[in-house]
Amino acid sequence: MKLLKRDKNNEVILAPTLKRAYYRASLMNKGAKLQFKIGIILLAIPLFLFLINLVYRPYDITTMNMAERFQAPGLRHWFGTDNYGRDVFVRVLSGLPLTVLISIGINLIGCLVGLIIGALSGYFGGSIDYWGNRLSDALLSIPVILMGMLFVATFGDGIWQVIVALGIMFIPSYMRVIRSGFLEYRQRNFVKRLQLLGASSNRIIWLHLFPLIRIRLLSAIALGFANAILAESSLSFLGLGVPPTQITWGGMLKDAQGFIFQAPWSAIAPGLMIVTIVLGCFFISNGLKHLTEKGSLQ
Amino acid sequence: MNKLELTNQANPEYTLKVEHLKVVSTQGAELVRDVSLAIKPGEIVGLVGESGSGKSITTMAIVGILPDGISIAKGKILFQGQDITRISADERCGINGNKLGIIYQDASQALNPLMRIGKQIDEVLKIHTDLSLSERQDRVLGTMRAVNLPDVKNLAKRYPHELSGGQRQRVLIAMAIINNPQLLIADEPTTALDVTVTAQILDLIKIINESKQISVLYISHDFSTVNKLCDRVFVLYAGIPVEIGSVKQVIENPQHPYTELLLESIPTKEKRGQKLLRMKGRTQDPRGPALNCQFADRCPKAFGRCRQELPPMYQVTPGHTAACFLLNNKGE
Amino acid sequence: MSERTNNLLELRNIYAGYSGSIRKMNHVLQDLSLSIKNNECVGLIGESGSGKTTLANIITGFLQPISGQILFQDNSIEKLALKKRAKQLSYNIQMVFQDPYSSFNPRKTIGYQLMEPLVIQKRFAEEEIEAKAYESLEQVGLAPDYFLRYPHQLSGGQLQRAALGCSLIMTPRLLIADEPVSSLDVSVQAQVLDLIQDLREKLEFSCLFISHDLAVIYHLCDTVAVLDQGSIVEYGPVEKVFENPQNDYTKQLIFSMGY
Repeated sequence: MKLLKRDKNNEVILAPTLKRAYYRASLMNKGAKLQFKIGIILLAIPLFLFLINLVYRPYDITTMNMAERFQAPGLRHWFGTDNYGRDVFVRVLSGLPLTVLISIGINLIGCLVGLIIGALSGYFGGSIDYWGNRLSDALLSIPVILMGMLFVATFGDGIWQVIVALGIMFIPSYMRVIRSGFLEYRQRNFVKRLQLLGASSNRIIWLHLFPLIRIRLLSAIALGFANAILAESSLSFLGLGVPPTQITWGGMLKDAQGFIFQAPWSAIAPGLMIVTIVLGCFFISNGLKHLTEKGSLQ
Repeated sequence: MNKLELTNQANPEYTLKVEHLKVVSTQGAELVRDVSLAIKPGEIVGLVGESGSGKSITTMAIVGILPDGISIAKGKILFQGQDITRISADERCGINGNKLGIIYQDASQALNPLMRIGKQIDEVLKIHTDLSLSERQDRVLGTMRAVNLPDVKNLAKRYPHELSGGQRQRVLIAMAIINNPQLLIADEPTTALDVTVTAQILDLIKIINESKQISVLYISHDFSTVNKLCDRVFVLYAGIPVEIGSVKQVIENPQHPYTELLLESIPTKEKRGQKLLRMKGRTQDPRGPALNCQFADRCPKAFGRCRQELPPMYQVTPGHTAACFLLNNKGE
Repeated sequence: MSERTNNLLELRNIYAGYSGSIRKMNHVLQDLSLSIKNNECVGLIGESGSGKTTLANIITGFLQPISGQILFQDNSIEKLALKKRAKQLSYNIQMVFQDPYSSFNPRKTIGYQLMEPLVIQKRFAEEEIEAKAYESLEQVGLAPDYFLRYPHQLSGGQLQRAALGCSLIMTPRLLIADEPVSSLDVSVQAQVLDLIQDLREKLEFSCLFISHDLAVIYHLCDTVAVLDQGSIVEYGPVEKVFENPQNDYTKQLIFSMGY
């Protein structure tokens, strides 16, 4: 029987992954499982519409058609048309990849930086922890909108500016989650035992402590994804960041407010998209949170 | 005392009488399988067992604080002749803290960290009596003196964290006895305490028992404290009492192999440097229905019958019974 | 070699404490001296708050003493930081903790955690490591199929035995046992005590056995040190101390245990 498998870092890996995954899934209780499923279904709706839109795209996103202004939702225009006679369905779904990409970018920055600062300050404590916390306090004291305006004013409009500005703002929330996880586990005796064995801090942090908080982190990422969509949409709604030539849901909402009583559907469609995705992420995050609570065995 | 006499006597003779108690979880695990015990007024009864023996679950069932998903499947708990297995929350309130005092294991967790000691003790009186403020105050201070707390007037104004572990345990005892209960349940009250403090607390419980004629149900895993404190002892194994008798009978002349080996595994002066454990290590207990002797797998003396039938209680001497087929053979 | 003492570990005039928030320093250990000979089992007894765990932390290096000397095999080690110290001593001081559940990473198998010390040390080949881990599992009386189990699938006693295996797989010269049996049941406690005794005969290591239970100390140890308020108030061979205690506090302890 060959037991020693090694990963890229030449570290021994032992546990059969599938078995472990099954064991974790069995820890999820019914309520958490239901929430998780609802979340997946909610996220599947926009994705499904997007896939339809990939093959069925009867209208161009920019071509105006004055004859068909303010058409109510129907068979010809599923979500109706706006003030220039453009099809709302096509426009809403063409905004999806950009919104999702921006969200992913924001969370990537927030999560990576937050993970490193949080892990170091949680594990080492002392002055590293002190300055890590001051940094996060400083970031928390800046309003998101202000930070967005600052970046746009300094570096001009653009998608990257939005991603970096919001990414920085998302660092503290990730840092808190990870720091508290590390704080909780670094008190355990097994960490002391490993230190006595001369294990490097790197090994303890990434091989022992990080896997213990992985699910907690996933839950935070799901939540962060929802928050990033909300933050990006509000920036676009104010006309900051993403250039008006790019279609974003926040931008569509801003356009729609001028004629909201003539064509409420042009506001409802992007609004519903935001709500569905945000709700879906919340449910997934909640389901995962339950898993962490049960999964963090003594 | 003869076992037959025990059962023939009328119920109110006993402060607490548990009859064939069976506690199961929703998954069907039998946590307490068949426990019967009786405590007479003024008696100190010890309930001894290792973790998983069902001693804590039995206590929780008596006090009525079984966790969710665990319930009483069979049996009666008679407190002063009244069945308290299925009473309402209001009735339960009238009993707990009033006629039934409870001392918990961890005093630092059983006390509210933000409330002054005096007020916490007073609260018990407030709930259960109609005394005026000054009457209550007198009684709080009196009870605090009775449990040997020093400088009571000053101490009553302190917060729990300002007290030592032993003092906190004394405060808990004061809360438990302030309403002059008929029964005091002490759930491992000394495990978190130091050796010297343990001795003092045991002395205190003994004094309370003697002066006020309060019955005590003392739950522990430690034979040495039971030896010092109790009159009679019940040894539990896997949810079934395996040996019952006076402390002297059980400790000096254990009849059930489990009791014998458990007593042997306590390090003493004479056994220095010798092997302590002669029984096999514990195996996982599936907690199904008990069809045979639960100890048979670990028992060095087990024979065929032990694995087929559940042994009944055999009487060794009057008042001393044990559930082991070996005793049957001796009789024949 | 001739000028070497027989002492494996020697503590000289140790002062230690934690920096409190209001007062400058809370002294937990005051002028403490203690020596542990080769293959000797020293029992350390004291009530909660007497500084037992602080002493363990000083020896292992989790806490730096304020002043004083620590000699391990006649080499001064008190100035070395934790990781350096572990390396310099070639992992000769290992520790077993009170709570067996927190001694293991809940998400790694027992086998992984048994092999880890050897993997970190990088002294053996893969196959050797695995064989050694199985050997150590057998040594502490656990069946080979525990190798692939997770900590939550083991009972407290089994975990404590596995923890002993983890610490002893490095063949340390000194094992610090911080109340290793006080959270266990009587029969399980007996089992672990028997095991420690067996392993001491087989592997010949010194042991600092910290406990608040006199009976356990008397059972296992050669020498006993009584700690009271941060200093050692009585020290000597176990029988001598138990039969003829000099210090009032020791007398009280022994009396309350009924010895």
